[in-house]
Amino acid sequence: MNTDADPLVVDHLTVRYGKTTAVDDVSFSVVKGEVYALLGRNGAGKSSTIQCLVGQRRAAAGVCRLLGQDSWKRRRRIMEKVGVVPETPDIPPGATAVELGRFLGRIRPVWNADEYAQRLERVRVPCRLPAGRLSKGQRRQLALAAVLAAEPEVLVLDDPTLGLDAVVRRTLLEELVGELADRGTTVLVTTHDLTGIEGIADKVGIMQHGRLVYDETMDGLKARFRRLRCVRHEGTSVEAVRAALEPLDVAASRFVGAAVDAVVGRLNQGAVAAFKAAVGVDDIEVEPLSLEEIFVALCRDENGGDQ
Amino acid sequence: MKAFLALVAFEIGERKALLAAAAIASLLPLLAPLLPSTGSNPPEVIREAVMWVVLGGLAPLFALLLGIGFIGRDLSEGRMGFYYAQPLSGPTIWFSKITAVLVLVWAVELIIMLPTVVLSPDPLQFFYLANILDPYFPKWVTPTLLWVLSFAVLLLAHAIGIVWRARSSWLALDFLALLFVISVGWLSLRPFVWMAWTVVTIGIGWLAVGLIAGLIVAGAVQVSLGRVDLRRGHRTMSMTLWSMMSLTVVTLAAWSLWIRSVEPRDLDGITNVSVGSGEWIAVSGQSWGRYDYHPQFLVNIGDGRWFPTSGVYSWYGSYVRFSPDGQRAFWLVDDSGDERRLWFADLTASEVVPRPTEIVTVNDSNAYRVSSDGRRAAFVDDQTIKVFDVDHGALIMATRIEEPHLPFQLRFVTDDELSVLALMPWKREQGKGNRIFTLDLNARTLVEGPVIEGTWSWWNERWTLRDDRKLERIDGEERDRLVIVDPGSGEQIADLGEMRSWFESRIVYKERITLFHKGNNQAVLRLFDFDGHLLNEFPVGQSDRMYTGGEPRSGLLAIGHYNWYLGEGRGAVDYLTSVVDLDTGEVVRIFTKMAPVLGRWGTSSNTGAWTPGSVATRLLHGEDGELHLWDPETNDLKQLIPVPD
Repeated sequence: MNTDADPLVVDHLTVRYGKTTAVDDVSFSVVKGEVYALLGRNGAGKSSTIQCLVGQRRAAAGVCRLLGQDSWKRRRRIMEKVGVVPETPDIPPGATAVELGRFLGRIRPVWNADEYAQRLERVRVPCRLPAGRLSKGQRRQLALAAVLAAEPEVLVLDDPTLGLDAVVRRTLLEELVGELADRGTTVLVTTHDLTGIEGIADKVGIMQHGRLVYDETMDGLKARFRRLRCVRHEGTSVEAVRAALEPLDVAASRFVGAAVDAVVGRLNQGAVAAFKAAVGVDDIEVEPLSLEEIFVALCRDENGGDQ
Repeated sequence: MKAFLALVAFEIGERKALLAAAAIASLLPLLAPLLPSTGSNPPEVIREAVMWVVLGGLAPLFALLLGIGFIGRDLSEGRMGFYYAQPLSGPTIWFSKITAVLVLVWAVELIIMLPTVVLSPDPLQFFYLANILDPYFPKWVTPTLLWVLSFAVLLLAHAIGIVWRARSSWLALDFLALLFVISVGWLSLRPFVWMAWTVVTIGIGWLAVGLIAGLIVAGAVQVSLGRVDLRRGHRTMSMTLWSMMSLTVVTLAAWSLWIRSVEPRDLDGITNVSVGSGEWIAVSGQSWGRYDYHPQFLVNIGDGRWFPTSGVYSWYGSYVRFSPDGQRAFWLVDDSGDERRLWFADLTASEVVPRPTEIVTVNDSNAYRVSSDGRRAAFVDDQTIKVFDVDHGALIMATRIEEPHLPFQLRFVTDDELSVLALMPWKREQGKGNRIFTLDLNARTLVEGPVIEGTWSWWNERWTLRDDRKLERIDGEERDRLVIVDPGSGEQIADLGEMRSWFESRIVYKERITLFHKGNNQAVLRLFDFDGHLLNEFPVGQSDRMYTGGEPRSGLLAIGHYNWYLGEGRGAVDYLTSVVDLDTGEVVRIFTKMAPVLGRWGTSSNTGAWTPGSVATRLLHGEDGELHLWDPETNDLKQLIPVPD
């Protein structure tokens, strides 16, 4: 439930580019200290949502609030306590890490120079090279170091692991979890690294075609969705199986020969019994799903291709 | 301020490579003198010349590239989010970034100049090449102009860069708004072109200030409200810029209208007076807040009626010319291109209104004359003399005077006969070969007259005496001389003596000619008849200059005395008016700080004697540009301009 007291609130947000609606009436909130993973396929509207949330883009309708203030109208003041790491590192290419640190140290109300230097040393980012000559991963590490050194109350990360190799990706996320948990920082993160975020996020929002189609806790989401496998009786048609799956809130289904493979969102004993009776099978397998499996099941279109 | 300075320093640091490039470029002028084929020019001149070439090429280029990219490129490449993710306000981001790139451009210019200046033999006297271009400017003008230009280029490049990158449909609005601003600006300033350059300069300055201020504010609005949204940025920038520019041009238009809405009562000093034989006078003068725009009016000093003759004309030389009978007034108005249209007013009508004629000329105002009744007008158009019917615009006669003669001056001898003085251009200095031609408008013939030796002056105004004898100013050995010439033979009938200006002589009532003669201790006014016989001479005092007015009363000649003195560190003129009784020689000083108008202006409409007591003979102008009408009977002065409260 959205409350104005939450440090991060998106309230009926709509973003349009000309006649195209990129974000359509999206609402969610993040409570203090929570890590919220905003997921969606490319073009789902995540970055537009984040740009509005951090006061960089004007919403066509709705409002975004950070730390209780309108993020469009009060952006400058809000940014004193908010850190933003964009999808594409945007540090001016001619600036070195040293110059960046000097600049941010002068304009940010909180600046932990030691932490900044230590982090850069730890992740081996050259301090005297212009940002434009750093690798993509180094630039992302530099951006993250700059944001964390400001000790923000709210951290907005737009796909922070994009372009990083698996080792760095995992290290980055684990470090983030540790540090942010200690500080009680509220985090909104979008990512395609679903495996990495699975152990970090407290809450998950999934966007499709500009709409927020799921907004619930990570545990709730994982507990709800299950993989259902069975072999249908020869006399039962695929259409009958499909019909039997409907009450289970089927998210995805696949039929290979007589094998049935489905992801369902409403599975209890009564529903299983009803399904068995409807398709005439005695034995079905029910398995838990990873976040990635749930996401793929939810976001794959009917043809299995891009949305 | 702390955030502003921090961002300025950060932005400069981010582009510090530019300074290194400038340092390398600054070495080019130093190497130039070492090159072969530099002739005998001294090294410092070569260095400075090359420096200006490098500076003139690189400084605008840097300004252009930085202007296009310092925000536009960050926006299109998705880097502006970095700034918005910091606790920096939109105006802080804009002003810091524009300041930083401006400092960079100026620093680049300084770096390029520095080695050449340091190696100059006299660094304090540097920029002498720039001074050659315009020695009237102080030395700081050239680099200052360059810096201001760089700033303007930066701002313009930024705006164009945003528009170009956004490529939204607002571009159409930009074009419409630009068209509106240019049109209103041009219509506002056009009436002053060629006529009041100070007004034009101030107007252009106002537009430039409006543009620069508009671009600065529009940039701040674009950064503050558009943020990472390029199209929204373009929209907000355009709305702000064109709002401010519209306000600027509307203000300019209002100022232009205010300047042109001037009335005679607004004049606070006269700069020219033309007088006819009636009560109408043409006055041009200055007015508070209108700088060098000197409006011109036809004013009836009897009943106070007036109308402007300068509403649309834009040529300062187009003074009003009266027909000799005083019933019509004429003036030229800029028409289109180089053409000027003849306008006139019938001064005898109950409601006097300016009327355009069908007559158009490309020549200047001095080259036309009107007949005594004002119904015919003659123009010189290149080598051709054209005579028109004023009321219908019909061409009565056109005839060409072949080279090498150059038609120069016209004069209606009668309404049907036109006299043309044609010069021999290459002999003008010697005053040789000038000839008078006569056009018979009834017979449509051109008759070539005799050579008039010695007539040379461009300002020569000939007066015709009895039997078409001409009173000519000719080139003397040391000074000009006033002579009477026989039109038939071209020979001199009489030599009246030296003269410097036509204002020193006057034809007065009863067929007499006056001319000042400078004696040993004081000037003498000599009186001649039309045959050149000396009738009388009177001592009239001593002044630096003395000019004749008219006869405010028959037999009484007004004289203007002008004495130059040093006042408040600069030259000033002391005016004095006296009258001399042409019968007794008695001289009476009547007014100080005033002089007769006829002694300074107003001779162009009359080639004979002014009627004694007419308005023209009684007008006086004062030191401060005021105009008075004197009544010799009561000795009263009526102030006409400025109009007394």
